Amino acid sequence: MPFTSEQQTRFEKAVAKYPHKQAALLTCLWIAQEIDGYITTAAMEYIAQLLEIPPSHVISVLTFYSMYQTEPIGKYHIQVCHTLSCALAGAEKIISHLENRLGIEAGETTEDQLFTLTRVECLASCGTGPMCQVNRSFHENLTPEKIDALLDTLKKEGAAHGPQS
Amino acid sequence: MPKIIIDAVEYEVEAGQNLIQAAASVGITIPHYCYHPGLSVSGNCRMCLVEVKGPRGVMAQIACSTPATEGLEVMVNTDTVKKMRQGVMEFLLLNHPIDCPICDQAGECGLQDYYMDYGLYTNRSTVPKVKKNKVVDVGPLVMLDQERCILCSRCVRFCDEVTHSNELVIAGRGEKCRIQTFPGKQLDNPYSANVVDICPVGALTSKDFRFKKRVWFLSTAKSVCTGCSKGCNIYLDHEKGQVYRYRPRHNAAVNDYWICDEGRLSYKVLNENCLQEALIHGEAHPYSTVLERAQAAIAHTLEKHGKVAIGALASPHASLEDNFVLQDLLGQVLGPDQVWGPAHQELGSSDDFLRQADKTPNRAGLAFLGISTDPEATQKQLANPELKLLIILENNCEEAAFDQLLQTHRPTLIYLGSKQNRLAQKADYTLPITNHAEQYGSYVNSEQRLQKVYRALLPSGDAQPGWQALLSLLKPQLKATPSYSDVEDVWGQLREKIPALKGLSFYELPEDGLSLLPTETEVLVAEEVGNV
Ligand code: SF4
Ligand code: SF4
Ligand code: FES
Ligand code: FES
Repeated sequence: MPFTSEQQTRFEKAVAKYPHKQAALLTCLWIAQEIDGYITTAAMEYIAQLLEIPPSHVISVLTFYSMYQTEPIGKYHIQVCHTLSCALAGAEKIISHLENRLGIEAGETTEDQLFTLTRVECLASCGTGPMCQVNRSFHENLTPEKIDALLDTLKKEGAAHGPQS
Repeated sequence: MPKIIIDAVEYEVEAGQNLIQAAASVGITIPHYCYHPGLSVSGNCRMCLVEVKGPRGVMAQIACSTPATEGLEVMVNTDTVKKMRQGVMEFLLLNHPIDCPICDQAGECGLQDYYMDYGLYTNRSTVPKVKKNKVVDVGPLVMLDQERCILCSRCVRFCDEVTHSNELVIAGRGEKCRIQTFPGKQLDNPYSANVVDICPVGALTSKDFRFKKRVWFLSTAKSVCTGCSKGCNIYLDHEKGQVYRYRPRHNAAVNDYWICDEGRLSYKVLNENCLQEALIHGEAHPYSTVLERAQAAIAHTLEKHGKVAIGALASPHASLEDNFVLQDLLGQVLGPDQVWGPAHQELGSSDDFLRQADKTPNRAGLAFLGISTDPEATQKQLANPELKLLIILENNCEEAAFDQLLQTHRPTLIYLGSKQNRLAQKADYTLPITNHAEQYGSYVNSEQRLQKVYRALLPSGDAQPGWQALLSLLKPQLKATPSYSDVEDVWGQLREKIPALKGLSFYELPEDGLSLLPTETEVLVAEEVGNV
């Protein structure tokens, strides 16, 4: 059992709010990620059993969303949209700039565990591309200069608060 | 029956079909990928776009989810439709590796086929193609190439709807979309390899078949799987005397579009240990010598011990024709009580879908001929010390029954079989006969359905069809020799003796078989007669 009995109660309470168990999938995934920092295979199996759906369907759903992680990631998750509008507005340039500045390729995490860089599909901010999402906030109309400023702020903030627990 | 108009021509079609089915029923093919008649409609590939006249004018609509209803007017070949297909193809091929030279699907690939019709031929994209995993060991029988996949979801629907095992899903979003299993799980169910057949491209390939043969070298024969008593309909693909694979052949009354993995791989026995020569005590001898000596043994036994000292074992592995001739000829020589059914059951795994516990293809055929299929009755006959000579038709001889027989008393054994097996080695006289790929013949499945197989291969070595070998063997004892020269002649006799086959010839037997069960009317009539 990947979760303690208190944690299990959290899941069960969430499930009870929905008319159909299956409808609680996204919420349950969210809870699992809050508990572990990312969604473990054991958590997926637990959720599948709880909601009476095949485990394969759990992974199908969770991999659709860029908010769910299946591995530990850096303190700051920089997700850059590379879908059409952003691509036309120069997303590739932004991604290379980030890769150069961070010394990693998209899909990787910096050695100090501070940044994870990912390419993602449309984040529904198409009018303000190129854009990225850092943890829960959007950064829009990006330019290399804006990226530099953003990274500086995040680095300072990250150093002040210490590594992610 | 609704009337629909396709390209200005009116057709009458079956009710309750979608446009792809309805068009197909009148000989018009609408290109498609994700639609499969054995699965639910998904409507994701868009290849089947056609133009449909509606209240708001002519609109593009996917044919797979458009019901063919009365008065529907569609255009399936306009410039707009062709352009749409071209556009869909361009998207499908955007990240496709186009590695046809090393792809097993080449020659039977939906992408290749439609590319010839609707391809653009020049790549307009300058962005590098997305790379994915090319060799995913997705299950014991199946390899996955994620790059070749067009995400039609047929394989996913198969696992969800047919086997209910839910192994495969589409994971990811956008360009990262791919087919995968749950971490640590495999595509592992008794029907798993069907996904290879339904995958319209080379994304799912058979581990057994891949890199063995270019498909355009293969010839195909319609046949029936002999792996169990279900008798799933198959295509038997072969080249130069070698069988390369079985593929399911649609039969709504038997196996629908599917076959089981065990049956699919059972083709291998056709390539292994084929008996090519006649044997005496396991040593090869000229066919005529063995035949003469076996004939002499029969004559000698008849003379010395009489008819009751000879018996014959019919075979649930042999065709209806072989068993019929065995029963008929030996009945003439010995009397009907000396032909017995198999001495043992051959049981294996089963389920409530296709796989039957009885692993023989024609046990129902024996019952149909009136030959007992009760193993105990036969065992009793075999244990009789008065038995001096036994003629055995096709027997895989895995069981202890024969060993027992050979220990207690030892009748002279004449074996007619297609395999180099223990019985072929131990029998006094062994004559090679053809297997189900080397002959025309028919089998009765567990649902009393008579189904035929076509000859795919030339007989190996000296092998002859079983009925022919039996005829030569028993000729000296027959008062009048039946003039069988082919399976059709055997049917001449068969239909005289079996009322259900009245008026039917082997070649007229429908491709999807014939149910031997009484029809509803026949049952009703029989009841009426009973009541009077
Ligand atoms: S693997 Fe084949 S059947 Fe499955 S989604 Fe891809 S193309 Fe379709
Ligand atoms: S279910 Fe029986 S007949 Fe059908 S494919 Fe399997 S073994 Fe062959
Ligand atoms: S295309 Fe980038 S947010 Fe929609
Ligand atoms: S066949 Fe109609 S959308 Fe794929």
